[in-house]
Amino acid sequence: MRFVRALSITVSVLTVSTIVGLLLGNPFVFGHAKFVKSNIENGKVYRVSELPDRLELTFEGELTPRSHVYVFTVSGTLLVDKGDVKIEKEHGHGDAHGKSKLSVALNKEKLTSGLYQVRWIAVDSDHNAFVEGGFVFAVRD
Amino acid sequence: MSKRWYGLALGCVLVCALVVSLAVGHPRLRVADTVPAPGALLSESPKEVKLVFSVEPGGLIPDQSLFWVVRQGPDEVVAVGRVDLTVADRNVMRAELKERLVPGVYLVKWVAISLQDKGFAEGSYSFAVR
Repeated sequence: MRFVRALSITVSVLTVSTIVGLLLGNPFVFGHAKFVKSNIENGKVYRVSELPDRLELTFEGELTPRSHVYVFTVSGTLLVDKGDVKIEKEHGHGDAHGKSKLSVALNKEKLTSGLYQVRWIAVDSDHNAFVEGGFVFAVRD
Repeated sequence: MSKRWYGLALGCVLVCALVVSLAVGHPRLRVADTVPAPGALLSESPKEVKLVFSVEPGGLIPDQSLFWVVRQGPDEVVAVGRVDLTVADRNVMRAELKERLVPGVYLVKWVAISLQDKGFAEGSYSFAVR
């Protein structure tokens, strides 16, 4: 009798947590990679010396090599990254799915004063789910 | 009066030349040569997706020019296309579809970068399999 009660409670908790996860759009339920952060901030104005050598984007979930990131000028749309896209896995404590880092080196010689756009495409390893996004930043003299 | 018209015509020519020179480095999708065609409703699954671009000599950068075929709904990537290195002009991207596409609408999202001046161009189109 005690076993049946414990089982019913467990099933109820799992059901409720799954429904809550679905309602909240939990990325692990749907299997889509989720953008978390970037080492270059959306909308921020930088001097070239303040910019990192590599743009690094962090995602929840594991990415496949089908993922890519581009950095290009808003005016003239010319590429200013070096194209050496890397995908690295990061496993945190208690996080079974872990995080992924998508990065590319910046071609700083081409980063003159102006507006730049970052465009990323993330394909996760669980379901090959496609997510894209982007942001802009500026460089001043 | 005629001098004024000549001046205006010369100005127009110069502006057009400037616009063309700014845009010339950017790859453009040749819609007529693209397979499946944008907006196509196919009765059976295609065997490949092929995009052809107008691009200056040197063609596209192979490692950075890509396209993704995404099944709409689950937003699942079913294929990734890359520059066809067997084409001398390097202006064709191709993805072989090893598995049949199930009925549905598919988005082709492409990014093309020219080798000569690193001109960045992107776009997308859809087709459907019924």
